[in-house]
Amino acid sequence: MTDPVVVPDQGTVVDHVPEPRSTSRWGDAERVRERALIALMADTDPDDPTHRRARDELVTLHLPLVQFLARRFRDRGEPLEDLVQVGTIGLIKAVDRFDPQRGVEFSTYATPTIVGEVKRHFRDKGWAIRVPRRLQELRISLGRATAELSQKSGRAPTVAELAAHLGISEDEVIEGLEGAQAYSTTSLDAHVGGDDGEESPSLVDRLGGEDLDLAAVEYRESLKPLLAALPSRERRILALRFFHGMTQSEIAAEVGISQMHVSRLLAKSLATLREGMTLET
Amino acid sequence: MSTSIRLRIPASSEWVVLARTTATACCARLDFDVERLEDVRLAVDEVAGLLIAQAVPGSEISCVFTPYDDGRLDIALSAATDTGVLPQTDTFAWAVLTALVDDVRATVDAAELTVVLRTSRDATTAVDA
Repeated sequence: MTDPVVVPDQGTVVDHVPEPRSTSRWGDAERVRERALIALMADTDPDDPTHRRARDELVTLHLPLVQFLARRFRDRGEPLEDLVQVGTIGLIKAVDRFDPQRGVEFSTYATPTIVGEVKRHFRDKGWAIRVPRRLQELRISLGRATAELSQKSGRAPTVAELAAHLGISEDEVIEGLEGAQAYSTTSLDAHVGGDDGEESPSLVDRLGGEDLDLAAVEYRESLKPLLAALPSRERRILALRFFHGMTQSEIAAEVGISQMHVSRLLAKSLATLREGMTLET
Repeated sequence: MSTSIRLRIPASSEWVVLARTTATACCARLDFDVERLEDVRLAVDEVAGLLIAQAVPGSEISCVFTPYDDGRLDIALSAATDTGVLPQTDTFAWAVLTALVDDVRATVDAAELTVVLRTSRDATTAVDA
């Protein structure tokens, strides 16, 4: 299993993060370092600690690019931190797949992968049912508060704690949690032949290794193609939750997204599978 | 002492939201953390899907939520069925259910299929036989 890259706390993102290549922060020294790291990665075995260190440093070096790209998608109802987080996953994928032989700059290569990951995040949210803006905002506050309170106490907060923290009623929290799950129940098409096709081999696949062991499952013939049609990340989350017994928070930490996001993806995947099974019979 | 909340919804996926929201409110009342709460919601979705598939067309799903003072919550969902068949326990759906709650039981008679979910505020409680 590849070591997860530790992404440092992004802190507050400054108002204007210029394109890395044109900043003083990204000068010749950085470019030289970048080349050295890429060469080092190409020359070493993925299991080699040197390889892993080079990979980590390469990712860290390009975090400003992720911030820059993520900021293009702010004001669309998703917290910037979440966008930076998913964009970083794109960056890691790009680092793992970059082929220096192709003769393109790494940032040129990484940009579409990062943007793709951010766009996929919006698609995953699947606001197929029109959710009022107030509820979307409430959901965002809930997501933030959940993360904050979880970090403080080491466990997921209760509805009462969320209400007290946000200064709203418990009813509103319940309403917000429902809004958070306004996933589409007819999203079967949305993911068939999604981006995953050309993204081989994706980071999640490489991290994966675990496959749903369905030997004992009766519906396996009809379930198999449905599972295969899910994006690899969703498949992995399902496997971690239901076959490895990990909690949503543990999965969130492992996959690098928020617990609420995990819960949303689980609900959506299960709905997709359910619907597929119903069509089958 | 415990009280039960009863709800009847048409056996159709568009009304499952009401069962889910009622479950959420019960969990909130029992002070479940949101992670457990989300698990319960997923489980209600799953059972409802299972029952809707077997329910007599045009019938209703009856939902009984029973929160206990010790933090336990039982949710019984039943549908009118004419097949009289218990759900298979070697299916993916069943594997999902058992992972989401402490205990799942299904009973069936000639007219009705019932699935009872038991969960609890605190970490998995031993299931009484």
